[in-house]
Amino acid sequence: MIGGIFIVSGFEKLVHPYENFLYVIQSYDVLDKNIDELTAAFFPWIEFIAGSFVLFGLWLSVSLRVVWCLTVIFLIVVSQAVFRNLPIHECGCFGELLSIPIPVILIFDSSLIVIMTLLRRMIECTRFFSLDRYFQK
Amino acid sequence: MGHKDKRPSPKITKLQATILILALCVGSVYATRLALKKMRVDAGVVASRTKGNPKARIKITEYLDFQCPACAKGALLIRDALHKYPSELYLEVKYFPIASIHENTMQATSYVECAARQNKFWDYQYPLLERQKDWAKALKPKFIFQDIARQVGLDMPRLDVCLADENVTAAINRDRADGKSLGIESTPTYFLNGKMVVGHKTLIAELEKMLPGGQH
Repeated sequence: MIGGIFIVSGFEKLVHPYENFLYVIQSYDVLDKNIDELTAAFFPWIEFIAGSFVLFGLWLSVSLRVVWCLTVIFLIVVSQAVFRNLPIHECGCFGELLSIPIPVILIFDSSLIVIMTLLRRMIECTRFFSLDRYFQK
Repeated sequence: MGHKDKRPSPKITKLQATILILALCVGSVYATRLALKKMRVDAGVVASRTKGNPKARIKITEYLDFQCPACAKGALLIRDALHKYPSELYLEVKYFPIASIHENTMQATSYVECAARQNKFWDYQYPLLERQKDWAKALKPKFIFQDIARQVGLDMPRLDVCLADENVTAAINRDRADGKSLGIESTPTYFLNGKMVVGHKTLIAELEKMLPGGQH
């Protein structure tokens, strides 16, 4: 499920012009102009690929860490937007596919972080249906 | 006798599986982008509302939502640039109302389209954008829209007939559908000589590079 969320989120951003996601990043007013553009170009790839590896259960401990970090970063960025009262109506996480208000995404991401933290602690259980287990000698 | 390992050996290695998944990820994205590109309308083909020099070296196609504050800033900025550099710029305006977050935008756009049908598109658009804060959150913005219509000298009976015409909504939705087919997801979105630019701040940056002596 977690892999699926990141796959959908990353894929939606990757198949549409990157300028749309660049605009979302600029709305949060956190990064410098040049870093904005690099982030818009690479962040969706990281989301999509990490989500795919979580879904397939390959390099699970690494990929879970990556998606956990992405969620924490996102939570910090959205929280600062709320704190600064920036005029952002919806998070822009899933492009045009899904419109999620900021308070909902804060609750959702906080829950994701808790779930992923638990999964990382119970990594051996999460590997049961994973490709990692298949390749384990 | 040794103990037989009953687990079959994997047919591929972990590294090969990793490369396969990466290839799948990259391939699926590029295949989808290619498929979407084939379905897209060429930005130059669709009909529009235009201003400026048709032979200008800088052609701007602007997709806007009349209730979007950034769109208002961008539109007024372009208006100022057109005054300052009339031979350098050519502007086309397209509708991209986002009714899911802007409750009065469709109604505002209908008034603009009906003003356009009386050849007063520009006369109506700018006062509408300048008074955006008045009508954006109004429960009954109709009174403000009609007030602007009277100020710019629209034929009011003809306006009422136009507003009741289903073809007006169809025309607005056609513009929006064309915008969606180009990959537009938010407003304002501009195409500067075919290059997609999202947001009025990025528009300022691009115009400063292209106009003589910067935009201001």
